[in-house]
Amino acid sequence: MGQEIVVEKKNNAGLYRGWIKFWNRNFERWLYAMHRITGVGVGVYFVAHVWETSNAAQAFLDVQNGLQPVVWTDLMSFLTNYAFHTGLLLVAGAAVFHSLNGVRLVMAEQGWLIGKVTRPTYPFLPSSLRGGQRQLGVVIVIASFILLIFAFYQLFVVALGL
Amino acid sequence: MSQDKSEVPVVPLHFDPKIMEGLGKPIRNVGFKVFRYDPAKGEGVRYSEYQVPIFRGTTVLDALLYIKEKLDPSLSIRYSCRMAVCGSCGMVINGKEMLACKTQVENLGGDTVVVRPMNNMPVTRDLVSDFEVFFQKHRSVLPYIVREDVDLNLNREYIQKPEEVIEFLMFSNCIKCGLCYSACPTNAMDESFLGPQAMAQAYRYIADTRDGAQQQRMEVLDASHGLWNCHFAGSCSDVCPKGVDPAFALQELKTLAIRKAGTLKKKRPAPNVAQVREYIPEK
Amino acid sequence: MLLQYLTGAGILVLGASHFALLTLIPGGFGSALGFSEVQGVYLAYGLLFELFLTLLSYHVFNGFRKVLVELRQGKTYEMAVTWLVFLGGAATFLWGTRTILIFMGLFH
Repeated sequence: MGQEIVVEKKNNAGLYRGWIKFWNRNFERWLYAMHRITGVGVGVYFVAHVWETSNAAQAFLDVQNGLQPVVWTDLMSFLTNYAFHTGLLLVAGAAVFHSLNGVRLVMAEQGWLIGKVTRPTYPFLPSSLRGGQRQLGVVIVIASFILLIFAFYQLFVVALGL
Repeated sequence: MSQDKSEVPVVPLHFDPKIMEGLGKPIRNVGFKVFRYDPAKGEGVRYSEYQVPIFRGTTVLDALLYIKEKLDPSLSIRYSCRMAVCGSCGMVINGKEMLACKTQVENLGGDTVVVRPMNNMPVTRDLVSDFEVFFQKHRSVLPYIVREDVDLNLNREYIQKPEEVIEFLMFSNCIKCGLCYSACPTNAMDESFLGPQAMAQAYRYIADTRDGAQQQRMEVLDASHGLWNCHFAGSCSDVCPKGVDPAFALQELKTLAIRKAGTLKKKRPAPNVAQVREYIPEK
Repeated sequence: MLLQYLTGAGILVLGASHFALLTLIPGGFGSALGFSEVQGVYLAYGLLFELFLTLLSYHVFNGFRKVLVELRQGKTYEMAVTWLVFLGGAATFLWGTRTILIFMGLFH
């Protein structure tokens, strides 16, 4: 007679092996991880941006009362520096990637560019990972880099005179 | 008339010794680091290390059976067919889900192979996982043909064109090995998520023209911790050993939930052979 | 999920416009955010900002909710996350609306 099983060990991949460790996986897993990271990053920036701009809005109320918009000009000169512009560059890159990858996801999730059903034969390669959405993913990464270079130019060369 | 042996030309056979490489004697020894857990002993998780001689074509399963036979009989593993059709020997080998019988050690590269049980399923012992929750989720999507007139059709075949069969054929190749369930990042943290296998099987039946329960299945799928917790990471399709492509099935299900919701409502189950032959109109 | 798609599409268009207006004007990003440049926001521009804020508030906080609910499950936890996210989104929306109204000169 078999022995009754005492305690089974939970073996969920968890946060590290499931979400964070994406580098040994397929390309779409990289895009999934980057989509999550960029989404959370831009989301946090959005909340901070609304709060920061609302503080500076005091300048408009001052101007209506005949005062100088000191709050605004002070804030802008405080924020015009290499550190903050590096952060803005990351936000810009993240926003661009997240939007473009979002378009790719909407298309894939509605059945476009995921290949078509086949009669499986050896070596059983999946059609969804070989369809147009993977090539679109590569294009999106390249486009994000190009727009990141444009953002770098604007933030560092134009604004800071690098 | 017998041929004089001296007249037969002697052609020296060219025998390249390299073709025997790795067959007669092992190529090298490879270190195996194997996850061990025995609840009866109450010791917790540990890794046991073994040196296994590798021949040409030695699979990870061969190596584990060598360990069990010659080095450590207490190692527990699951296997059956040894040819990638039963789905019993799924494990995480060097960080990626694979069938042990299908994975050749020489193809892995390196001098050490790390073997763990599959993720997201409780470990019963060593490399053996508990599939109970996995099977429960599979059962919840009604993985069989459901139609109202099934009693009328017990001795009859359903009409199905070849192109209609192709629509679901690749999803019917699922061997329930659990590799996709282990690879899925959503399953890594979300225990309530149905998982790629169950949902791919739901699509297999929804896409089957013989079936009539697409609405019931969509209710199970289009719920919280269902379909929309898939974010197309694609690892399920990447690790599937039979080309089932569960990621494809999931995206098709999302299409049916939004863009093609109308076609789902209009679907009628395929008629049986007798109905068409006797021109009995469908009710 | 459909709303997440639709708000995402709207954010793509409005976000691209926001980036374009900050960089493709004469002087580029360096002169886009001076006080005189941001003053006098007329009605249509203000309404577009308001639409951008609405779409972002929904999309961002629903996104946060999805990630948080995948991290941990349970009826109480999920309800708490939904409420927290709703309140966060509403607060961001209201605070942003106040800023837009001030920019448009409609708030004193």
